[in-house]
Amino acid sequence: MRKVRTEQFSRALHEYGCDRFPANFELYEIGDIIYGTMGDPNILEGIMRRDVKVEMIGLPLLLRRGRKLVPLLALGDYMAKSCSHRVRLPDRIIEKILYGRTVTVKETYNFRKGLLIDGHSDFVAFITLRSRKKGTEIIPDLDIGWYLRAGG
Amino acid sequence: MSEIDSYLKNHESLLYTYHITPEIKRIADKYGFLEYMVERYLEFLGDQTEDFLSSCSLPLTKSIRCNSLKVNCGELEKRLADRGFSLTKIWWSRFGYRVEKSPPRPSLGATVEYMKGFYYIQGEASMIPPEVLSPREGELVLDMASSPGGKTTHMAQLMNNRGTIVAVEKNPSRLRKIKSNISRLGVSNVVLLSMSGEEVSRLGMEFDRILLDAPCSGEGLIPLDPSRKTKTAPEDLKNFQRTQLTLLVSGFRVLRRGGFMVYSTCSIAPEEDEVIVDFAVKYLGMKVERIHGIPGERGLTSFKGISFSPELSGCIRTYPHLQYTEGFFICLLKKE
Ligand SMILES: C[S@@+](CC[C@H](N)C(=O)[O-])C[C@H]1O[C@@H](n2cnc3c(N)ncnc32)[C@H](O)[C@@H]1O
Repeated sequence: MRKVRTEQFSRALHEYGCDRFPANFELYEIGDIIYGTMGDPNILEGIMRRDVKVEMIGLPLLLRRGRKLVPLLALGDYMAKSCSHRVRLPDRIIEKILYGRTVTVKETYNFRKGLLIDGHSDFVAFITLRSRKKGTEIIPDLDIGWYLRAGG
Repeated sequence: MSEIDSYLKNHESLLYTYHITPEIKRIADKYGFLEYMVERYLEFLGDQTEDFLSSCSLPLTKSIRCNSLKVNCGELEKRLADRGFSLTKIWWSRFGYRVEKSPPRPSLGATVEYMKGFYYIQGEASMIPPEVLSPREGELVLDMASSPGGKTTHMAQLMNNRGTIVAVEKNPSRLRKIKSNISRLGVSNVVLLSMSGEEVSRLGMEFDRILLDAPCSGEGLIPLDPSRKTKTAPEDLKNFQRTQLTLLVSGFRVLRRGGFMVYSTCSIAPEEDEVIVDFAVKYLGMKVERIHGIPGERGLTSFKGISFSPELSGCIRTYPHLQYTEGFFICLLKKE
């Protein structure tokens, strides 16, 4: 477990149209997950010095997968507020995506990685966008339905 | 012999000797409970015993806690109403609602609002301990038995995500649930540790407030899980008592002077409730702070010939036949 700086994650988030780290957190790395917290740093450092098994510190924000960094659902809420690659779709299409389905829409977009938001502008999923003859295919990478499927 | 051992030994014969009459047998048989349980209910519920036993077969009204960290609660009410849910505010709670009516679909645990972390499905009485402990922004708080995180995340809400909650969980297989809830609800001030509550002194810290929502028999959850009518033997209660007392003493040691501890269980067993708090008062010198403004019955001041400190009437108990909630025990203690 170690403290890490936000700058090194900016590139990973750039592909979602984020020009800075979207949340004001202190970051800590445990295993392959980067966590963010607003907890008191002195207390956290006190705990880190002890011989105890820390499972998480605040919100899980990013996952290291090989050399790539993948954003996690808790960061999606913040990214959807401050990054530009947003895709807003009607709720009946969102429902399909929450069932893990891929959908095709007639709109076109000039980015490949995006944040899917619903009619209330709330974050729903990280998506990959693929150009198709008749529009864009929207593929969910990680959506909030995960909490029902795998959250336990 | 340790203080805990001798305390348990002193109470053992009074607590665990049962006089089963034909009337007790009849009632136990009628409602499908173990005989020793009914013997105790007659002692502390008296002529309400059968009301209690029959209420254990009725479903409880579901309730949710609006997550003010992610949504405005008025807005949540509106959005759930649009889906066909009808909510009424629980008057004494800052974030709690009873779900009076639900549509056939989606279920309460499968709405988009649930996935967005706008609420947590939680028994009404489970919302009492954090409200009573009332942690404030900036404080250092310990949750000694935390998964699945219902009360941890509630406390984070009361603290507005500021300050620090150290949440401890002993059972590794229960970590996944609390992690998922912390993430879904957007709680950013929790440090989750995989360790047993008995070891908290290793942290080398003093806490402003402590929640000890102790592992217990779950004797208050019978309306939700009928198997509990026959699941717990007196021997199990003895084991829970030992764990509860050990956790209580470990928590006491890391609570700062002037700090507060809530001891709670989802059990109505006096063995796991007043017997434990009486130890806190008589052996640790803790003071019971009387709970006001929350519906409940008063803590017992005697049971099976054991007299507890009169202060214990400041604790509260909830029951399905009186408060229409799961059975719970909550006590606020102060370290002087
Ligand atoms: C009553 S449940 C806690 C419920 C939780 N406070 C909530 O509101 O969601 C008790 C928890 O304590 C854990 N536990 C049992 N023994 C423990 C110990 N010695 N130290 C810490 N946790 C323990 C159990 O695994 C269980 O998750």
